[in-house]
Amino acid sequence: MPIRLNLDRMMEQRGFTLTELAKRVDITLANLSILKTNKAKAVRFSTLEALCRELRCQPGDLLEYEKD
Amino acid sequence: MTNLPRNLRKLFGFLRAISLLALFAWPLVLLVNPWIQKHFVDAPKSMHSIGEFAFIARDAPLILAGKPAGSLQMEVSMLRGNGSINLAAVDDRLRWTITLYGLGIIVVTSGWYVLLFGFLRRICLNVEHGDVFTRENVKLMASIGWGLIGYSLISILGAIYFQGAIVTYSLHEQVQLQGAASEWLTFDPLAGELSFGFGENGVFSDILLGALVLLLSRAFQQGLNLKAENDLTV
Repeated sequence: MPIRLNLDRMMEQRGFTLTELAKRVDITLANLSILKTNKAKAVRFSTLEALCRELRCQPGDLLEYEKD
Repeated sequence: MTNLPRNLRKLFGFLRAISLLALFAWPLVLLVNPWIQKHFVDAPKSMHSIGEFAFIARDAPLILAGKPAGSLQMEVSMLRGNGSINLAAVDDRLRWTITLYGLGIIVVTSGWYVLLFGFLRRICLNVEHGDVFTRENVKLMASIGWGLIGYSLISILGAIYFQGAIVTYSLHEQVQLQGAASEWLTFDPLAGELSFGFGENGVFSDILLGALVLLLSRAFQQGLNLKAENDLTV
């Protein structure tokens, strides 16, 4: 998938574990793991908003386009 | 609230068991039990017309008011309707042909119903567990659709063969009408209206039903694709 979500980099910078972030963003650990491993086919704006809020960043800091 | 998938699953399971029993029991009983043979095979059969029947009378003696009145020349074609003939009393070969055809119907029909109710039962079980849009359900529905179409085609071919073989043989070789010299024209199975079927409604409705079920399986495939995408939307 050309669009990547650089979640692990931001989580390391902010010092979050998967479990903590899942709780704060209010999604299941399984779904957060899908995001982190770039298996997701789509992300809701509400989820993206919650991630940016908790990780104190912009959507552009999380999303990256990588041509195949 | 009643659990419809569970109740249907039990019903289809029961019907499948009955069909399985019929698949093995009927041929055995038919071949072994002389009473069943006598009443099933030897009893007069009614047959619907498939193709063109004709009746020709040539030089048939005509009696009017007890006196000879010349002869009758008549040709009647494109006959429609039902005939009732006791064929089995005539010869063994014909009798066994009817028996084998009857056995063929039983085996094909029972075998198909075992498969059909098995597929339906499996779909109900999946729905009961909440698995509606799954690859397995799509395959099961496609199998039901193709099975309905295939079974209908086999029924049509079987009916054409049966009437072609039995009726032609019987009418050409065995049937005589008392009191008149008669001939039966060549039996052409494709000349007339196809109206024979295992059920009262005929086989074409089953072909249409099979096509509809196939279409439904394609719709479920779309549903499966949408579900897969939705499952990976966070």
